[in-house]
This record gives sequence, structure tokens and C-alpha cells, in this order.
Amino acid sequence: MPAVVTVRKELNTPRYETPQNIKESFEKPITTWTEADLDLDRTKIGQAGSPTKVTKVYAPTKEVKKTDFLPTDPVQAVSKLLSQLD
Amino acid sequence: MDNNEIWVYIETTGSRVEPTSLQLITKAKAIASGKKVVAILLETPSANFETIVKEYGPDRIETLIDDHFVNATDEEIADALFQVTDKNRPNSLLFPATILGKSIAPRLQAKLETGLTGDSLDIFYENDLLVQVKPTYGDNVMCDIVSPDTRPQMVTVRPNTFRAEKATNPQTEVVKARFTFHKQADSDIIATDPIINSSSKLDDAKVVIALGRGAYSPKNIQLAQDLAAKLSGMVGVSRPLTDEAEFNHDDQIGIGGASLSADLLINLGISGAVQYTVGIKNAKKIVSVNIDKDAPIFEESDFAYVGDVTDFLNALTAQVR
Repeated sequence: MPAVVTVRKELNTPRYETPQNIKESFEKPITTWTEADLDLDRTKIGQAGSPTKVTKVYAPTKEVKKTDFLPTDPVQAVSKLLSQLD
Repeated sequence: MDNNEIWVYIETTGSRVEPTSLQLITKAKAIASGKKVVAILLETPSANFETIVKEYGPDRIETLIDDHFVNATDEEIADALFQVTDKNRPNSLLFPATILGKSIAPRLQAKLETGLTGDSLDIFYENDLLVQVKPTYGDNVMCDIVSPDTRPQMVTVRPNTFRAEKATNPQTEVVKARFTFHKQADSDIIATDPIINSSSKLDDAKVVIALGRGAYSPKNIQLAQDLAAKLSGMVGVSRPLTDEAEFNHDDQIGIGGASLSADLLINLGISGAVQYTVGIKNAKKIVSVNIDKDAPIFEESDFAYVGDVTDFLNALTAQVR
């Protein structure tokens, strides 16, 4: 224990949020743990502890595609499209 | 720091070798410049996947053979891989970004205490450093990522990012790797139930009709499905539509979903965010329909229709044989 499970959304549907539950949620305690509360090797967490480093950040060079804009009438547009495709 | 080799994990399911692994062998050979390309293959004694792997010309195939691999858990596989990579660390270790690959790679990464980039779009070497390219979350921006101080440099790569090419290599060595299968005490596969993995089918579909938020309506879904059936194609969606009841993650195109290799892709009501368009780079002909003439998707398209999706679908349905 504990058993660790990852699930997909198909597992179930979340229950309905009743007004009562919403009201009660404002009073519910939320436990927060930071690295101060956990017994962690500080050299192994955060940016400093990451084995991977980002060396460059950039906008990808766009391959310029020649875009054929079809006629505004849908029937003509489809007709033109189909004549161009195999 | 390492043995100057690029290792590729060969994923197998049943009697099939995952094509992405073969694509990674080809890519590794292309960027190796002097490094040896090694395929790592886990199989039962009666399986003979190395005959398929050999066709792609790696320098060496390391086989890990055990009866348990008919049905090993992800942890057992990661443990076996750890045994053969820990003492003699490869320079790089490439995994397909499939469901299995993305489960095993991080487990192995944690054991090896090294770096891993997931869903990389491209990889290349700068000397011995493997540069791993991926988009940042939520931005039309790319990052180059490296693991400067740890080995192996690990990466998962999405299906159809690269092409597999057969290559004869009479020098390919097949070597049985030494390891011990460690049966995992705390979990067991008790049953497996084959389902049609429609995400990998979306990767392979020759014709794809893709729906985005701008096209989401019962009418358009019906028209798209009918059209896909007529064209022997499949319907895919952009990520937002996977939150709707009619679709799920298997229908998704883009980051975290399918990478298309379709001959024809028709985008309907899709704006063209980079998280989507990374999944369509290898589609041959792209037709896009959007009511917004400035939608970024048009820059990725061969044909553009600025107008109503339903009108376009009706016209297309009427004219397609």
C-alpha cells in the first residue's frame, strides 16, 4: 500500500455539485505540504535538481505552405477541391 | 560517462513490433555519426522478433529472453531494462511515446536517476549531447532540452514523427543480454482483454475527418462520420472535444494524441493551435474549413475554405462518390 492508479475520464462521471456540498466546501480544511514538510534531498528537487535543462526557447520556423483558398460558394468550393485531389 | 551507443527500446505487442520503435532505429542511424545503434528486445524464447528488427539495420540487437515476457508488468520490464543499462550506460535511450513506452520510460528514468523528455518532436546531436526538441505547454514556442550531466539521455518520441526505412546491414550482431527476471511481488497481470486501439488506427488512417470546437454539433458529427465511412476513413478530434460525451482520448489528434500519416486530412472548425498541428505534420494533403479567415490552421493547409462547416460538409457529401 498505497496502490497507485492512473485513470481515464471514461472511468465514471463526477457527481452533481449540490448547493449543500458547495456551501460546505468553503469550510473544509485543505492540507498543504511544501518541501519543508517532506523529507526530501534538496539537491534533487526543483530547477537545480532537474537532470534536464532547457537550452533554447524559440519560435518554430514556419514551413510556408501554398494555400489555395476555395470559392466562397460551398458547392463550387467542393467541386474545385475534388477536381484538384486525386 | 557512457559507452557511446544509442539504444532503442523495441516494443512488441502479441506478434507485432511497434512501428515507432523501427522508426527510431532509422532515426538513430541517421544522426548517429559514429555511435553504435543498438536495439533492446525483450521476448519469450519462442519469439523471434530480431528477424524483423534486423531488417532496419541496427549495429547490434540485445535480446533479453524469458518466458515471463509473454505477460510482464511495466515494472518488471523497467527492472529488466535497468539491469542491462545501469552498469554500462548508453549515451542515449529512445522509447516510443506509446502507452507502454510512456509507462516504462519514466520508471527506468527514476531508477537510472537521469533525464527524460517526453513526446519529443525531433532529436539531433551536438557532439555527445542529444538535443531534444519539444513545444512548451500552451505556447507556439519550441524548446531545446538536454541532459548535460547524466546518462543515458532518455527521450520518448511520438509515432509517425519519423519514417522507418529498411536497411541491410550484414554486420548486425545479435547478442543475448545477461539479466535475471525479477517477478514483482506487489502486482500481477491477472487478465488481458484486447480492445481495438483506435488511437494507433488514427495514426495509420489514410483519410481523416477532424472536428474542432468550431464544428461541434450533432449534425456535423453525423455528417463527418458518414463522410468518413464513405471515404474509408476515420473521424478524429482536437483535444477540447475529447471532453465531450461523443469522443474520448483515443480520438484525439495532436500532443498527447495521434500523429497522422494520412493522405487526406479535412479539418473542420479547428483553429490550428500548435498542440494540434504537431499531429498533422505528416498528412499529405490538408483541407481546412473555418469561419475565421485568420485561423492559423490555414497556414498548414493546402486548401482553405472560409465559411460554414455544415454547408461545406453537405456539399462534400453530395459530390463525393
